Amino acid sequence: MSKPALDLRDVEVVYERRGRERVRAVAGASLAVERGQIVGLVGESGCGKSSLARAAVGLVRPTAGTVVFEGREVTPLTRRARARELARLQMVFQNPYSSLNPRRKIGSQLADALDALDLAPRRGRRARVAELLELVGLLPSAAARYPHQFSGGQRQRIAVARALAADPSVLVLDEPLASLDASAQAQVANLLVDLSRRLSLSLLLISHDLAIVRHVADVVSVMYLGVMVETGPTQPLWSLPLHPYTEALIGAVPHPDGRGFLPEALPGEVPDPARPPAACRFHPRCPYAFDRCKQEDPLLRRVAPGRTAACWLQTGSGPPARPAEQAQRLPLLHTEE
Amino acid sequence: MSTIAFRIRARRRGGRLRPAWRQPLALAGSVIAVGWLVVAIFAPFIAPHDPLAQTFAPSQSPSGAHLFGTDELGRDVLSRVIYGSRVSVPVALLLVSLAALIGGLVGGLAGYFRGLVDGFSMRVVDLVFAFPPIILAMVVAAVLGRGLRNAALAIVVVAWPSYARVVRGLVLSVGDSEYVESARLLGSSARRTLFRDVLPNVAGPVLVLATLDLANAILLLSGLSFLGLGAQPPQAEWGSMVADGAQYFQWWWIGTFPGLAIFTAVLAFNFLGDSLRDLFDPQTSWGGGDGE
Amino acid sequence: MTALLEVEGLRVRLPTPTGFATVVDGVDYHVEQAQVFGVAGESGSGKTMSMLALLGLLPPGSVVEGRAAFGGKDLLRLRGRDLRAVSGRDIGMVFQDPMTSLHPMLSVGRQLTEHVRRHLGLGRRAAVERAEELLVQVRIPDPTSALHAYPHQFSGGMRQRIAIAIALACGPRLLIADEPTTALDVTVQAGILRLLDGLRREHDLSVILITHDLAVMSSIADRVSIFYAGRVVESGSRASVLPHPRHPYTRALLDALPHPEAARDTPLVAIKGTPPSPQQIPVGCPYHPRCPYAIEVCTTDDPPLAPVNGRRLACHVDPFDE
Repeated sequence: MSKPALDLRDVEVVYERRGRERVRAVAGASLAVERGQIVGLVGESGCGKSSLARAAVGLVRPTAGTVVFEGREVTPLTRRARARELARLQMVFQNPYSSLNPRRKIGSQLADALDALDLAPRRGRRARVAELLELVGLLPSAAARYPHQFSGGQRQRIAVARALAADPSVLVLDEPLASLDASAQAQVANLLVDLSRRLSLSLLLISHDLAIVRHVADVVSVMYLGVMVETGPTQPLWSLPLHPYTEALIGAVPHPDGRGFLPEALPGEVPDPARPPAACRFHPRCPYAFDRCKQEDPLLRRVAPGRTAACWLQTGSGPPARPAEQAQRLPLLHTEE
Repeated sequence: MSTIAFRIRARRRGGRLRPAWRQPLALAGSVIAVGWLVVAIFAPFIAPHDPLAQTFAPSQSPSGAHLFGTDELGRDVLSRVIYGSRVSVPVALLLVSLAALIGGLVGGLAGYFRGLVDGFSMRVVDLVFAFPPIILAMVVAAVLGRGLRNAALAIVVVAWPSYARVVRGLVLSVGDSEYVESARLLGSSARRTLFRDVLPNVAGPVLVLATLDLANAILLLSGLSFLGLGAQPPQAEWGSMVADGAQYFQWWWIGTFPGLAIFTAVLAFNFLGDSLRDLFDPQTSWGGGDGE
Repeated sequence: MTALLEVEGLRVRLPTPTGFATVVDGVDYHVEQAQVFGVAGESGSGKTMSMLALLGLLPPGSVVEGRAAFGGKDLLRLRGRDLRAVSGRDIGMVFQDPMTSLHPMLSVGRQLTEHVRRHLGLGRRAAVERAEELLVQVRIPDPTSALHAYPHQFSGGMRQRIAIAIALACGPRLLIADEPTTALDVTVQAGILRLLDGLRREHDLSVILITHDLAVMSSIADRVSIFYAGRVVESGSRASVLPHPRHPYTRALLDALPHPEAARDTPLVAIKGTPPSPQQIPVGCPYHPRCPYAIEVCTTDDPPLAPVNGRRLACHVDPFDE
């Protein structure tokens, strides 16, 4: 296989502020985005997924590990202009209300990138801006308007268009759907898939909503408290989650079928990343936790073809099975409390 | 389906500027402020008499010949009030611009470079803020020596730190905003985003602050003159005229009319500043949605 | 059984720089005892405004018409102190962002006790006991120490639980929850939905659940109303409306949602266009410019909300009639 377009290896992000505890937001996480692939990164808020995204594009400096984009190390931003080669790695933020400058016309904000990277001749800029707007399903006349004249969904598409101005090969999207209505969410989700296929663009889509990610991503990584707990191709992961946390995320999704299904709540809260639980970080909330989970940290390892999980229940021997079944298969290890 | 024409029931939302009659305070503020500017510019043509000429019977009460009466030295109070605007309004404009320039520069540098530059300049700002403005202005004016120019400089010394603090805060918060981060990722240098994205978002609030500060400056200037540290006699200046009037309480018109001049000018710039703030705040432009 | 809340012909007009905008245009609904009534629609559909109108929380200058019978009184006719006496005690409100109803500088205990002391006239000790009881009710772990903590020390989900506890403090009969789970993670959302469901079952509480997410509504609502451009386009029991939507808009909202049990590659179907702003509501059926089933009459006549097979529907075409 060729080298991935974006490769994060053992990335660690630590925030240190005077007078406060050291917070290890990302505690050694790896992730690879292949060319043209859509990778979903899923987890609850506070799991470090946004920090990982910011590290991936160079907005924060990882305290350990490496981020490599198209064979080149991603270096954190300084006051200088970012290296041209890195401009093909772009980011879209969660809130389309704060990610666009309220006082500048859309056209001028889109042209900025063309200007900074010298991507279009001065005369061709207006045409390129129109083209970018059409690419995200907006009229070229949008260029002459201000952000506040658009709805949330439209603004998010404008933010995508601005990122596309740099002619990126990888787009990191931090919760681009979270602040949108259901219908706008579908519009933007479909747009992202379509753009990825048409422009052979790789996407790293970060979301707390596994249900929507399932419709968009080719492969999914599930993150919990700074570490990856499961990765795999989307469909198998959705139909047969191997980590108890993934299972909980899927069980919490409400069903719009009118049958009155009450989604399962995961007990407890994401612990404070400054003081993570010892051994397996998920064990205090895990319904299947047994002795080993409190003593040893399970590493992310291959448990089935194309699938990895960080869970002591998944031994890798025999066919993969849901955590509940695995727990029954290990009666000797499972101790009642 | 595009052939189905649909009419619009309600009128489109207008431009961003609301009509003036919906903002009576803005209207009043700008009319009075412009009025004082006009009076200041055309004072020699408007004033009926020489403001310094002691040619009339002293201490006449207001009448047809002297609308505002005459003062204890026989000078026409109306003419003095009119000429007084030539001191207060332009000096206030000048010193506020100077304060905004100095404060803006310091605040901009602090917000852009952060770290030591920020720490040092903000401690200086804190130092100035530690004193009540009028006391500090008095001390500075006293040290520099009496006179209008020194009084104005003293006010600049008291006034610049608020600009420094506002500009620094804005440069920091806008600098950390997602749209600036986006622009940086798209290849803009920090300096480029400073001029394209950050400073334009700083300009509005600074203009608002400056307008409100004009009122303060007029008041402070009059205050210093009242205390004898500003304009020196016989120059016609509102604050020193009020001080004059305060000595002759039985002749109320000597102090009241310049006092009213200060009052209206201060009020006008306050109104103007408030309505500018509404104008520059995108939050106040009416949204119309719910749940967002 | 008579309804707890009965709203008829509710019309809300908000002042704008260019005249009044009708954000709620003739809405009827009723809420039964111990039921969850779901109100769904996109942002700007008037669903929030129609609730704020009941509590007298609209911006000044707004004009409200209609009737809202609650406990023998018309909420829309009550003013000032009388309205607060009803809305403060008998109606609780929870918002999307719990921080809007929590005071950041006051401890959780203080906020809870102040509320019950003011409205119920309890003594200090009784108020503290009641506050602890409320925190237990919303399933806050370690309620005694939670009383001494401040809102920022809690996670989003816990804050929402505390906001619910405050809303429940005076033992209201109706809880209005405006997008209570929108800002939360799915795992936490599930917990809040279970909590609301439990309150309804164990404490006979009626709930109005406002949401843009039909999946959330499907979990706990008994009856639902779908709002579009300030009016109701479809309403009925959850079990009839959500599995078999009859209005094209309801259908479209459902098709836009990811469905956990859908086949592998069911694409999400987005509704084209955006909802109209209150100042430019299209003539005729307000949904017709976005509706793939619109016919000539939809462009001229606004369809009335009429009863059909146990539900109410405002559509000329009714394309999904069985």
